Amino acid sequence: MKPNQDSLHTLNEIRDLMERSSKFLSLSGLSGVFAGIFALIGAGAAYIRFKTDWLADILVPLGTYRGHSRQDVIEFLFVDGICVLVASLAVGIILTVRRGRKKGLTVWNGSSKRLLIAMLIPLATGGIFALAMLHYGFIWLVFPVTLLFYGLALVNASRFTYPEVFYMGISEIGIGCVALFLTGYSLIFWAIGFGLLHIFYGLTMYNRYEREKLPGGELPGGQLPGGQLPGGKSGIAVVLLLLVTGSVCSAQGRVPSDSTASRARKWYNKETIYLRNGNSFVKNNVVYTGQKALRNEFMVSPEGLGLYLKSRRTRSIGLVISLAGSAGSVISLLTGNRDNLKTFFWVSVGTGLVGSGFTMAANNQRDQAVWLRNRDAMLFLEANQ
Amino acid sequence: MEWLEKFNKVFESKIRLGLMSVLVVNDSLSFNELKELLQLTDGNLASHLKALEEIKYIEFQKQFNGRKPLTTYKATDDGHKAFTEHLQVLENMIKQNL
Repeated sequence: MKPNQDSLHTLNEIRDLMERSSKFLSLSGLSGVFAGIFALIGAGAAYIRFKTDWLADILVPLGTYRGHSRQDVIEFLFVDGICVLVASLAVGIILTVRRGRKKGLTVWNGSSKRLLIAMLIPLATGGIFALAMLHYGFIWLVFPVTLLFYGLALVNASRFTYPEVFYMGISEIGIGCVALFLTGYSLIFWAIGFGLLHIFYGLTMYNRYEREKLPGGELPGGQLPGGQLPGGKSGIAVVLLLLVTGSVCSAQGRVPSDSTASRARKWYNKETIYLRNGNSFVKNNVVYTGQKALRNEFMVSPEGLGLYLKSRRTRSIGLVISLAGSAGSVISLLTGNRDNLKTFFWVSVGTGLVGSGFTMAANNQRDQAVWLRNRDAMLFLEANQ
Repeated sequence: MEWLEKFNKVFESKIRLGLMSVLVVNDSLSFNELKELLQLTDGNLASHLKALEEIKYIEFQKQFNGRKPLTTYKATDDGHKAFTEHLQVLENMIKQNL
């Protein structure tokens, strides 16, 4: 009877292999889209709170502006992040359970458990690492680190669910690596990584696996229903690209009794400017907005004006390249076939990096232009006795 | 001998049984991978694959790796179900003979 036992054993092994290789296919692509939207809202909230300083516009002229303490920043970002996470998980679970029921699959089974464990291990590690970074004060590392570990979690979990998750993980890791070295733009990268990428991949998965298919098993016309990706994607790109990294300095030093130094200091406070948010600047503690006002300030320095205009041109080039990359991705999404996904992937990485490079150069040029203008404003030094 | 009635004729061939087994535990496999795994000639493998594909137990996808064509096969839901049932039949068969 031994051979029969062996056969039974073999049969069970086959069954076991089948169970272990089954994938969790109830995952809903729409949950990715919602997660992306929540992430963009969270990033927008952080931007409004800390970069546009709408409160400061009121307080600075009154001289009562206090500035942001580090504690404020950490607390706000922490709450922001938790809200985005909870909202995304909730919607994700609801949509996935609904889809599972529709497909007639049990949602909580061996494959979903394996998927969960595969995601949780890198995520938990990343969470602890991020907390450690906060603890030691490396706030600027927290954003890239979350992107990196999230990407690793996705790559690990992709074995147990749809293969698109693998490419999404790689993209997140890529963005995280770039963000590690361009820390001034961490908010943009966070918004792209958790926002735009989720929306893109969520839509891809929805397109491939959830849309109604015709009886022949083909997708109707290969077109997205309604035609368009959320149009806000380009708008957001423009807004984010115009982000200025200058921060509000509120330090007011004591005036020294030495007369040359005090005169120089008075001149400096009165005549020099610094930029905020692309089209507004601060001079003598007053905030001005508008192209014309800015150009007036640059009148005193032709060199500065030239460089400033050049920086705007460079920035436009960077914007065009990024938009071209986005357009390419929209096109590949519309045709919806597998080869195009891989081309898109490389195209978007390439244009993304090149676009960022141009933006960086534009920022450096702009900063230098302001420096030149301030230097040339020294001709007012004599006038201010 | 009722168990014999449920015996799926498609899997009478050892090759098809092997093909289905391998496709059911892997996401998808290419023609060449199948050829290596099962040690078959091109023509033999192709005809079995065609038979399985005609009854919709497997599906294939043709792609190009630059100029080289690449065909991958995966088991369909129907194929999964049929194979699982067949396994059950085999198990019953063995238990009866214990």
